[in-house]
Amino acid sequence: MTHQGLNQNQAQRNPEAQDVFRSAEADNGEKWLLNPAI
Amino acid sequence: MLGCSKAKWHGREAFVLVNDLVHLVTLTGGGHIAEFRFRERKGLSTLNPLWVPPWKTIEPYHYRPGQHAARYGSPATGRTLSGITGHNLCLDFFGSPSEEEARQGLSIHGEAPSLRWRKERIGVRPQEVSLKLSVRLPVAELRFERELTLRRGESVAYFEETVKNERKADHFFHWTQHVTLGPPFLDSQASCICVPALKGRTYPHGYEGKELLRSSYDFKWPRAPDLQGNFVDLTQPFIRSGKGFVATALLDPRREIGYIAALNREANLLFGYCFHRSDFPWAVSWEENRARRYPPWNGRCQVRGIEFGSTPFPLLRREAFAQGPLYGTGHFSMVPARGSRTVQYVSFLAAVPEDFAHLRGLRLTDSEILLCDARGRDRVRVRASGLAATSLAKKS
Repeated sequence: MTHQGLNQNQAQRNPEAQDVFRSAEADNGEKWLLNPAI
Repeated sequence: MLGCSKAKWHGREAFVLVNDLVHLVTLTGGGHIAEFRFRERKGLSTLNPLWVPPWKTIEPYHYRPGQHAARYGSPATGRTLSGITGHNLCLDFFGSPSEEEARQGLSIHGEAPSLRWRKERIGVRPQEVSLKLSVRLPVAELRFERELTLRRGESVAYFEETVKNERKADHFFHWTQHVTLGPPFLDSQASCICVPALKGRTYPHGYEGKELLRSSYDFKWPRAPDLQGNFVDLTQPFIRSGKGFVATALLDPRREIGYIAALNREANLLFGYCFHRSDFPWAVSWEENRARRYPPWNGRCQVRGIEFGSTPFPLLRREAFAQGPLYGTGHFSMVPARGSRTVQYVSFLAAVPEDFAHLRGLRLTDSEILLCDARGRDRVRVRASGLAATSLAKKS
């Protein structure tokens, strides 16, 4: 589990938002967000 | 002709409401409005403005992680995405579940989009046909009812929705109509989005490294800043392939009636919704334009959401409540202990003149939706005789 670099500053400012950035491995090895916004 | 019958839509259980002009499809799996379009008739476009995903959807209550996560994503999103289409209901929360909530089985936008809705009744009267569906949200302890009505000779769908709180305590929640539009109705050249908003703010969390817009930035609607500092006109769909965004807009507080709409100038077709701004003060724009390359999106999806609701951003509930009001405007709905709350709104289709370039304003009377563009006031009149029996009439 990693945080996406682009959003790191935002996550640091708002620790409650950190769940949003947690990523997971897709079957093809690509990183993708667990919780995309739609 | 006036009727309502059970049907199959792309293999899904559905009900179809029809009158002599239009045809509306709603699904029992998630309650989505999947189609709303004119019937075959000379001079009228039969395009369905609502988005139909490029993936094959299933009844979302049949989603099982072991069987379906590879195709639709993990349960936190995949349960909802497995059945999503058209106009979706976000109820109790708007956005993703927390990690803890996801472990309990909750998926994006709450329970309603992935539960099986029940038919309560079909009513056929000389001038109208109606269908009432309901769903109980066991985690939220909310009961939801939606009655859809078509009237003879009108291209208007009347919505009445009630949320009932089964708890012995007041309940604070999010309530958003997640309307999504897609091709071929929505087209980067022929279409535009019409929202009477004053100002907006871009989403705080980018778009997974594929964001079109700068994050957490206030802007004057519809010109939002991109990453290079240029302004992007959000009334135009599908501006840059490979990009996506989320942005909220505050609907004009001087109007009692809010609306959202989209126009296809080649089809001369306008599609929209009218509602009480006090119920739904926010219009969130979401665009996925072939940005996400993982399932179920797979880099091939074009969709624009115009999501009108109680809440400015799709965030984790804990984050949304911690953020508080935006621009002094509310950010949630409330239903009292053991109480209920009802809203009424309408959706409409309008055939517009060839030179109708953009919807500049809209007003409602007892019996009509009146549309204006830059060329004139009340230029297009949409018959809506059912407005007289709603709280919407003469409020605009």
